[in-house]
Amino acid sequence: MIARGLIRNLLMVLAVLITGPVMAADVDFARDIQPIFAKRCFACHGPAKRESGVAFHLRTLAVGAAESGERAIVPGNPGASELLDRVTADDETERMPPKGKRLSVREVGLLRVWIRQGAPYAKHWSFVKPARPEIPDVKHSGSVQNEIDHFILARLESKGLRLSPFVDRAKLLRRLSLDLVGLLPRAADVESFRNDTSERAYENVVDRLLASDHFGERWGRHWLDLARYADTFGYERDDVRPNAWRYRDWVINSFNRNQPFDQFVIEQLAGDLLDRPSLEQRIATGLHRMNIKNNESGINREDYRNREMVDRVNTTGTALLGLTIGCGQCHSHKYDPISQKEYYQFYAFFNNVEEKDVDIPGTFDDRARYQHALTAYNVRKKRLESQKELLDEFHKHKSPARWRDSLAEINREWAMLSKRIETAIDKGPDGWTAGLTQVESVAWGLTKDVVAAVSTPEDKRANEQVRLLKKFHPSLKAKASEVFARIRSPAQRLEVLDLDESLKSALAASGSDTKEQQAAVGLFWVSLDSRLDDARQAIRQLSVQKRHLPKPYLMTLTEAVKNRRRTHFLIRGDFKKKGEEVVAGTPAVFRPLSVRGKVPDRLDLARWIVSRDNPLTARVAVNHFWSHLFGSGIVSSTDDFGTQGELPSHSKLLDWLAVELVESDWDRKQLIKTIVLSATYQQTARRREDLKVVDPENRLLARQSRFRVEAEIVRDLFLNAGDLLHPKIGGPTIHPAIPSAVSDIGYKYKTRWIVSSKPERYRRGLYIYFKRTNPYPSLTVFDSPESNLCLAKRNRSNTPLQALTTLNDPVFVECAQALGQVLARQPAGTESRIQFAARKCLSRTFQPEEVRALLTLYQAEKTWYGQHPDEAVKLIGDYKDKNVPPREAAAWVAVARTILNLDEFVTRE
Amino acid sequence: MHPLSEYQHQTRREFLTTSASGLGGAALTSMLHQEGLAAPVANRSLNPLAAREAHFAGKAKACIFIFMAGGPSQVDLYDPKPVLNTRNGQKMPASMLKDVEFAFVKKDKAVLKGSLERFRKRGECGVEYSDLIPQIGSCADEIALIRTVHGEQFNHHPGQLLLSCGKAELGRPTIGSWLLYGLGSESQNLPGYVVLTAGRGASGGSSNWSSGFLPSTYQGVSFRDTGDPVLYLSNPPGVHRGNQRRTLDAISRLNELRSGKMRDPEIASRTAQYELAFRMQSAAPELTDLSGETQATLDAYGIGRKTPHPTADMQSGDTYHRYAANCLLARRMVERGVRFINIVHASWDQHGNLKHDLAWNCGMADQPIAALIRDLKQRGMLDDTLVVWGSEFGRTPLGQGGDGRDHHPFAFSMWMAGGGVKGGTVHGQTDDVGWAPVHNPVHVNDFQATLLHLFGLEHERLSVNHRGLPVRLTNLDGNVIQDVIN
Repeated sequence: MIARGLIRNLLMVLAVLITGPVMAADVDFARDIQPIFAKRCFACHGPAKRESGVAFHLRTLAVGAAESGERAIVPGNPGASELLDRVTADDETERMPPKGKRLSVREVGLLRVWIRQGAPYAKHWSFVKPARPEIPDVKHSGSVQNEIDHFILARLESKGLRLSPFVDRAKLLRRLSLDLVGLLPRAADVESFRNDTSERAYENVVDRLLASDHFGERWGRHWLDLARYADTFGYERDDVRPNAWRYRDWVINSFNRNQPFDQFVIEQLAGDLLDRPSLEQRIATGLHRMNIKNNESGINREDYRNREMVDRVNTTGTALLGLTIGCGQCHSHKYDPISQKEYYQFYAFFNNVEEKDVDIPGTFDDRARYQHALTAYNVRKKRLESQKELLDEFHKHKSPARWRDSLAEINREWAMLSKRIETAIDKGPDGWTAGLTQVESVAWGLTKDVVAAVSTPEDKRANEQVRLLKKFHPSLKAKASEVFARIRSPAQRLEVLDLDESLKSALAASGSDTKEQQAAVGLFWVSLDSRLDDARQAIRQLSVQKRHLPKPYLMTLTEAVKNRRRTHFLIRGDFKKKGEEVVAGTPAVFRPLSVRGKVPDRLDLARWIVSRDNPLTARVAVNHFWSHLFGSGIVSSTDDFGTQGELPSHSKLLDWLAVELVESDWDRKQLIKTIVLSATYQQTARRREDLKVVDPENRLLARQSRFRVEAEIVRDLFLNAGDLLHPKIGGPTIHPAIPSAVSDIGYKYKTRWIVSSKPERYRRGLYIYFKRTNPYPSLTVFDSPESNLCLAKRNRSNTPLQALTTLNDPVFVECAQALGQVLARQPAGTESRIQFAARKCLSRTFQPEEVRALLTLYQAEKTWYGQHPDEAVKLIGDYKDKNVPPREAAAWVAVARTILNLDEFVTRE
Repeated sequence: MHPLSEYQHQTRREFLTTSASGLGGAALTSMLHQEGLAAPVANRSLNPLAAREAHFAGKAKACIFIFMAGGPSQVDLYDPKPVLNTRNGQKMPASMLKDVEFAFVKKDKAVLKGSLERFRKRGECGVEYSDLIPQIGSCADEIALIRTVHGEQFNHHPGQLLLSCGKAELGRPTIGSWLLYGLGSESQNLPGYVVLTAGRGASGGSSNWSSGFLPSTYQGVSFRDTGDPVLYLSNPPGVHRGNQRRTLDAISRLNELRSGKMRDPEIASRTAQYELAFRMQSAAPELTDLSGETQATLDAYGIGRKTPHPTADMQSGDTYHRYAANCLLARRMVERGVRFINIVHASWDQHGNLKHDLAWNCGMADQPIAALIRDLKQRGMLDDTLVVWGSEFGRTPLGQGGDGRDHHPFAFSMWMAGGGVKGGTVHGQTDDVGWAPVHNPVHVNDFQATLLHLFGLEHERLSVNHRGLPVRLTNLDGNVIQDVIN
């Protein structure tokens, strides 16, 4: 029985893997054939080697005669092609490739069909500009909402499948709300949507959500993954990047005002090169200031500059073109048609960028805030340094009396000095220098010129020198008072230390101190070491603060005008090994670049990227949008559209969407709207038995997908459910509470983590301060990007640490407390409160069995907390209500915490 | 195997594992068997940490990686150089300095700096160790000391990435992630990859225990020695174990009902993670509770010992105790099935104050590390537990200032003990002043290849397809050092 099941499973697996005979129309050179050559043949028969005179990287060689006189490929005649004989040979000494597994039946079939077709060396699908495809016919047109469904359903019907039914309206609204704005729909909105039977009901909801400012937060964050956005520079020092958030806000706004995607790209890559760029357009260039940057001392600047350029090139390639162009840094791309030289031509576009920190015009607040903070910092620093200085003196002199003696001595010297300056002032410019030694001149802080003039006898001074001394003379007054100010009594010196009066007076003067005072002085002396440590520590801490002062500038890019660099091919990617010089250019496999001026620049590049003729940009963009609405892209390798990437599950649909996007003048909201209006989007996510074997990964989309929401959204939903969420859009970053064990991790500079006040701390997850070497743990635990590199697809892991976070992190517990309070305040009725929670959190009502499980929990907790009233108070925390008995309030927190930790709560389904 | 065919082979396995949810378990197992990695029982898509068999039988089952971040001075600890001492104060030949770079040292002024430390022969093998680490030296017969490790990164964070990920590039999995990915976890109640720090962590921060592009399932979990050992391990105030159990029961029941409707196996997987979290809530405190250890054990490691006046920068007053506790915890973790334990400690970056600070650091490290090796041996655990001492680079034989040395990635020392390593050996030889290898150079990637080999993993086969290319721990290189393997 078991064995039979196994065999059946195995057969089904094989059926999936082999997928029947190869159909002629299925074969595409770049997709199917070239990878076989690249992986199995090129090592001996490719660009590097041509063993036995056979090579497959160029058609002329592949179809030519080998040393033996045989022809590996005879176009149109598989029977005469030596290649097929060799890959199918039974004799191991004959068979190719000589190492590794035999080619599969499918691979051999592909080669055979391709040769029969004439062995064309055609371009990879994604390197050919998409054309608007015909809309396929479908049999079951009744379930179709728009063109998208034709593409999806036609493919399904060819496999004898149909779309799944629509998800119920309440759950549809929850899905839509999570996808478009990343927030729970309000229960009232769910209700009115359920009751709205008008034809436009759904479209109206879609329009409303697309118009919400939260839309920009939700979709802007997706882009920030690609932009490797973070609030610090990364690497060892990991300094703060002042005002990084202004770029983040620019992205949010761009989505909200539905800026056309082509403009969105142009401004980020080359906003500075536009005609009289606006401040906003310059902020947009912050994209390529988001790269990690090493500020460690003792680095080779050229090395790290090169790494930054490489990152900018690779990010541009991955985010916009879906190309693993980075492979070209060290060698010509093994699989995609990008040579190493072309890599450095692309690099050349970026090689003359200059990092420019610009003032924020008109933002007086920022400047004032900075000045204020800087002044406060300097005052505090001065005070701490005097503390340390004083403690050092104590340490050196070993007793109060000796310290006072030395202070008196120093004061005498200052007094003498002050006196001499005053004398000098009295004598006037001509006479004041008499008797002044050179040492003193230096001590007084005189400049070289002044010292020279002073040391010249009066009668020998040049006119110049006389004038200088005249001019200098008045500043002596300031000098005198400065020196005079240094004379301070022991009591004055002690002021920096915040000691109590009695101890202070005992330290300041001897003679009359009481026994208590003497004891206090003794204790004080014992504590010197630890006070010194504290002061040193405080000074170090303060130096951290300085790095966090709100500097009023923006990080942008501009183009160097002077000292422009030449770009060289770097041998094996090594910045020290320069090869031939290259000029900026785009890879030859694509349409040529049009150049405005003498030399191609970033603006030309940006326009080339978003030109209608670029085969990749629109496809890559629609694929990103699609992936966020279905959990996976039409091309599942969202970061690789090259020959090693996955094939599109629906290539015609991808092209249709790409053409739609371009022809709508890159209207992003319109594209999203078209997708969510499709029946394909509105299907239920419930798994189907009939799909288990034919489509385990849901590539055919005979149903919607279920997946856990992203890290930031997990937080947002919790805050949302507890009615805590502060909906403010944009602005500086926030710091929710974290344990000190986390904030202390920072290496040289501890993470400064001053918890934001209310309601700021309840803002959405995307506003949390992101420190690259020590990121906010409740984000990274849910796979938020590390933000060191461009990321096109997040992982979706499922770990015990996630459970610990949502169960126990005080930030999440507070949401449960708040929701518990909301529930306890609902009109009486345990069951109706539980249903209220279901509608609020899950946009549905619970089934009787579910209610029963929660009722059981509620009763058990109420009883337990009745017996443990102190524990009840602790669990309720700040969310008590004088009208609700603690045991009930606590039981509601327990119910709330349970519902918030359900799989369904954090799942978009 | 040629890298290209390796790549194809890998891609297929990736396909099989990632699409495992749709395949019968037995079919998957049979496929994996063909690929040389088997998931004997569990389905990897439901439990990505299910234990897996290695490529071949390796001796090591767990690794304690002692990561001395900053660059300890090998010429003062592990690589005695009498000639360096006699040439103290002399310049290096300019030809030798031609193509090298330093973080701080100025080439035109730099002079050789002899070691002030005394070395002596230790153990039956007679390998020389400095008097700064007499206890580690006393374990010489267990240790394979490699004196010719080299890399090309001379700044901290990039060097740390090279050591942890095989390439000075962010976004790649670290050694522990690769081991977890390749072998799964033996522990049902604890994370399979744990990071311990006492005081100062490494400058690279969490990138030193990142899972890179692999899911966070394979990421190192920071165990903290203050507060909760694992972040958010404790229940919130007012919630006791019974309350937590009832809440989990309700979650599990409601998830089950939802699963009945949606038929999504991910739901059961979520419930399983909550149950693991619940078990971890009791297992982790049990782990960190040292009350079951004998006084003799505690004393051997130096638990509770005093920290000398911490003039070394940024050290808190109980670092010595905390470091000892981490070494003991590492042994307890291995006993409980944790696969990879990274004991991270920075402060070995002596650009100045070398004499004092190095002694201070060794005072912290010597006793607990030696105690760990002896303890593992005595309990019969050393045979399958690999202990590693390493850093991102060493320090220059040239002096910096009066009493310091600069970063030196061209030849430095690391060692391994246990887990199938040939004890009492020295591998590699540096030149008279300890500048560069003259015999048996070992690149960091070679070291990593050897580490994986000890676990029964072929470093060229353990790879994952990322952005169209196979990525592995040893980057594009790596040769197993057979000489240090038993």
